Amino acid sequence: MEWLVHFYALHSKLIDQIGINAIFALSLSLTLQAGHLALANAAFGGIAAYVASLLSLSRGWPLSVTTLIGAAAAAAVGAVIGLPVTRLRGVFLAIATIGFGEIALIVENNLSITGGAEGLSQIPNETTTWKIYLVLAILAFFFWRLRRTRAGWAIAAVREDEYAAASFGIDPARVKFWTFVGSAAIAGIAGSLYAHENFFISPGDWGFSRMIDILVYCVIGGAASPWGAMLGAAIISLLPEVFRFLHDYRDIVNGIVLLAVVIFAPQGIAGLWSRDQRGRKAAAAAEGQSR
Amino acid sequence: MSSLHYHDVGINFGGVHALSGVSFDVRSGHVVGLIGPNGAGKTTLINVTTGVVAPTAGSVTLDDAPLSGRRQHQIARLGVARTYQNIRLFPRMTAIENVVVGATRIRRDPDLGAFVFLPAVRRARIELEEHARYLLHRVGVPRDEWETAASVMPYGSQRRLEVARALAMRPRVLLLDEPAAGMNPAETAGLQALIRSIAEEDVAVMLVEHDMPLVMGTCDRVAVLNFGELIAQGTPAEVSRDPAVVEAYLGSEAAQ
Ligand SMILES: Nc1ncnc2c1ncn2[C@@H]1O[C@H](COP(=O)(O)OP(=O)(O)OP(=O)(O)O)[C@@H](O)[C@H]1O
Ligand SMILES: [Mg+2]
Repeated sequence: MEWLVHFYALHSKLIDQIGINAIFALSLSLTLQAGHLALANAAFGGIAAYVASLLSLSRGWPLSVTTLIGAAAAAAVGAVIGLPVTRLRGVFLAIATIGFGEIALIVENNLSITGGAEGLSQIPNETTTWKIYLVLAILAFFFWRLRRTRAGWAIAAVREDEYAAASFGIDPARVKFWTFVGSAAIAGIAGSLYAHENFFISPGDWGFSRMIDILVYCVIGGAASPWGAMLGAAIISLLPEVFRFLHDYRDIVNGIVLLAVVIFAPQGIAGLWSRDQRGRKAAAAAEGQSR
Repeated sequence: MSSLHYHDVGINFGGVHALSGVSFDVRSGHVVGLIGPNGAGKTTLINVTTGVVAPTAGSVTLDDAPLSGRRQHQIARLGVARTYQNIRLFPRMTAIENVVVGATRIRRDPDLGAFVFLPAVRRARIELEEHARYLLHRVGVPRDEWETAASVMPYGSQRRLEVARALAMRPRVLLLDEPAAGMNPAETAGLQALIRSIAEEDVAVMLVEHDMPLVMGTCDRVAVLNFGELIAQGTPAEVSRDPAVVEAYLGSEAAQ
């Protein structure tokens, strides 16, 4: 017990970061589950972070309220740009959403209300570990149950083959739009929590490199699986700590680990398990054939 | 009772008339064969019917409801099911899961129910899978492949799964695009019985096939396309005697 208290005191910041990163990873996994690559989650996190921080600075509203409003703002922006953008396919969607992220950065850098390049500081430090993990647990529950709903089936079908899905009454445009908006909202929650966890935020927190981090969580964990996304976030957030003793070689080893996963487990870590499952079923079926 | 009407349907792909002036009906309880040489426009007619492409002339109606102008998922929701000549299953889903997606149109379980563990949702899932197993059995997918990812199923099973998935939507109209491709004569005979039994459930069936014995043995009427135009229609016996049909087939074979 004492050991646990000690461990927490030493690593609470890291534990909080893992939780927030896992929420970011879940946000991206929603659009990935529908089979589209939208890369604006960092930007949506930023929008919500600014909205939540400003409300908390100017009005003194509590974390729960500012986080909800921040997430709603991110979802609203997501809905506005989602209408045109989710009609794009593949790499065009990725490029358009990256472009949107860059525009958001320029706006944040130049508005006076967002504090320009300096950002906002003295944001009330209201995020606590249990609040982060409560949100994460609620989201994990949501994703777990989502697979059993008709919407969850529609999402999976669109990922597998959107044309075939359409010929069974599923509207791929609608699935893509709502997963995009939902993804923006979840990224917004993560961004608000991040803002209240750190004393200050600036546009640089929501740039392309953060988006790539989120993408790496999902790719490493398993692109279309919410469990994989959370696992990936935890592993990638821990790697720098684990390899801390390597000092200057740390980034190289990080890179090697990432490469190894991408090469040897292209479906991500979660994919190792399910590939094995499907593989066994395939083998069993082949055996049945030869009999 | 429903019926599908093609009225003067035409489509133009940048100057190529893939279809022109095509008119015929497919009534429920009947199987209409659609035949013609390669590139005649058979698959294109299925694509026009299901909203994949919009006709540039004429119209398709189901009973009195126009299909042309509607989008793919809207047409599917009216009960128009199809199979794909170039198999388009959901590759990483199992056979059963593929059929469950096929049933999307008829699902009525409350969508938010799963979040509060509503027993009705669980029951609906069990019924859906039960029905999926029945359909897989009916079309002849071997039992030991039911839990297999579609992408690794044998080719013949994938074709059958296409049919099971289409049946899962309880279609009013079923458009089969070369379901017998790659089947041996015994399997084709089984398919013939299956298609007749589907029609007997008051489904309007259109069968696109190159296998002439299957078409002649299964269909109530046959329509013949050649270069996008309907060159003959009638009973199988009438069509096979038609000089224009013989000409189209001999001509195309001579050219190959
Ligand atoms: N989307 C499209 N764009 C351009 N041309 C097309 C398109 N779809 C079909 N075509 C053309 O229309 C013609 C008819 O093709 P279709 O696939 O309907 O033939 P088919 O009768 O199904 O032939 P097969 O027996 O080989 O399947 C072909 O010349 C084809 O190249
Ligand atoms: Mg064809």
